[in-house]
Amino acid sequence: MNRAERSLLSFLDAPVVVGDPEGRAVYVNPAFEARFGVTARDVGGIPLAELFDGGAREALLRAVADVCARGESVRFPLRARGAGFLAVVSPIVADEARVGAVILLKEEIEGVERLLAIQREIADPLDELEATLQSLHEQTGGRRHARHRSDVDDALRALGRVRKWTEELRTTLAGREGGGAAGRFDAAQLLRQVADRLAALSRAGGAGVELLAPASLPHARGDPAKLEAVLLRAARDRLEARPAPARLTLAARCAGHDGARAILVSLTERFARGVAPAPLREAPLAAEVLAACGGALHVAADPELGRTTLLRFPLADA
Amino acid sequence: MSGRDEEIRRLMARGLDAYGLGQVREAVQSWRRVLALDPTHAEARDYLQAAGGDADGAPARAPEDADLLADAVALLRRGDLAEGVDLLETLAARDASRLDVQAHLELGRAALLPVCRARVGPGRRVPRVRIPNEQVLRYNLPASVGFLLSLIDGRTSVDELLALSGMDPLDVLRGLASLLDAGIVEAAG
Repeated sequence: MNRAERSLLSFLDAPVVVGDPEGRAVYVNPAFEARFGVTARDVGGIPLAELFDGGAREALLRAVADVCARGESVRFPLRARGAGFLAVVSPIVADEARVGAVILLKEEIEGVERLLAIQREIADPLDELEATLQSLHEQTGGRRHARHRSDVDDALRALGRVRKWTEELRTTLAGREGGGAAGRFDAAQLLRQVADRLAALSRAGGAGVELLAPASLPHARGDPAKLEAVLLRAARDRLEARPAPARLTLAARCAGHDGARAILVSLTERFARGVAPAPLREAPLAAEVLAACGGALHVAADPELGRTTLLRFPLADA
Repeated sequence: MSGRDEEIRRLMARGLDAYGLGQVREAVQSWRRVLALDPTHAEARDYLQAAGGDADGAPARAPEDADLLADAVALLRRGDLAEGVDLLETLAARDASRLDVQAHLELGRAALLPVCRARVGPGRRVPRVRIPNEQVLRYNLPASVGFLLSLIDGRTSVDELLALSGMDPLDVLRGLASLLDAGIVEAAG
């Protein structure tokens, strides 16, 4: 793939990965890096299958094989990192006229937007209906119209219920729009995924990654995919630093009581004496993730004890 | 009884136990933590005064959070990791929104983990209860340690306890370490 093509893909907001004719990843754009917590350097040459898990992996491999064999684009729904995407796999002519694949992942926002538009369309006739019923209500004030008035009252109550449910629909859809600002996740489960993905890197670098989390936690509010990307980026930065920190600890717990509970996710590093800690390059993305859900960030550092980057998430059901 | 009241009761008893054994510093720390949870706790205040709670002999006062956080960091730095983490947990329980306290608590937890792991030994070791059930009641065990004790059957290894309990690994290893230290449990293998 030439520099101009890479440059164009790097401007896309949608995650893109490019595979060579052997099914190995040769490029991911910045949107893919941010969404999936990998870097172009990490993925260069690894099988496409390693970028996805479970059913998504099989579906993707099947699609890439079809595209390479037939030379025609394939579209299919794909679920990865807790989010729904429409995957568009297109052929690309690689070296010696062999065919590779460009995979573009478009988040399933179109469908949500369409449903939101329908909800807005429903709201207009509901307004008209209510105005008409209120008018009838005023006209049936006398005893002579008692039965009609009762019917109008019933209709107004039913209308209230319809309004309530369309509002519920709007709220739910608005939460999904924009990539899951109203998402929810189990931080303990998410940390296990992150630790699994870091295992190979930590083995290679010699630094151990410890996981301190119970089996499960109450669900936190926030975007799990973006948090995973933040944690992976942060942990990779530490593990790739030379010298690497002596130890890296990923932790999640629930703090507080009753209505004031929150989920705390942290990354703690113990660095060797006299070694400057790695810069917090993940901080802007972490701040973005936390701002979207009303969370907070705190960093505590001590020359002897190490450094903790702590992220607080509100409970999903608070 | 609320979790806070239970913690106060436990700390008061622990302070008395320590005082009885001549461990005045530990006793004073326990009662200071009681005052951190409940500044009006008259009994803790009396005990502290009796024990010469403050080095300068001034009347015992409820310590400020900033003092306690500095105390906790000092404990961690000099290697009194369990004490430091205990104190930070007390502070965090009093005001969970203090992210500086929570972040220092994570520093302490991360430092304490390898110490507890070393105390407990390899994950293949199998802990076994050394004392009859009725004697267990004499110990003032926190609920989480009591739960852990209920899982110890002489066949389940440390690694299996970590997986089965569903608890935070540090809580499991700390609980096991305290049971080993108290002689309630022994581990073989």
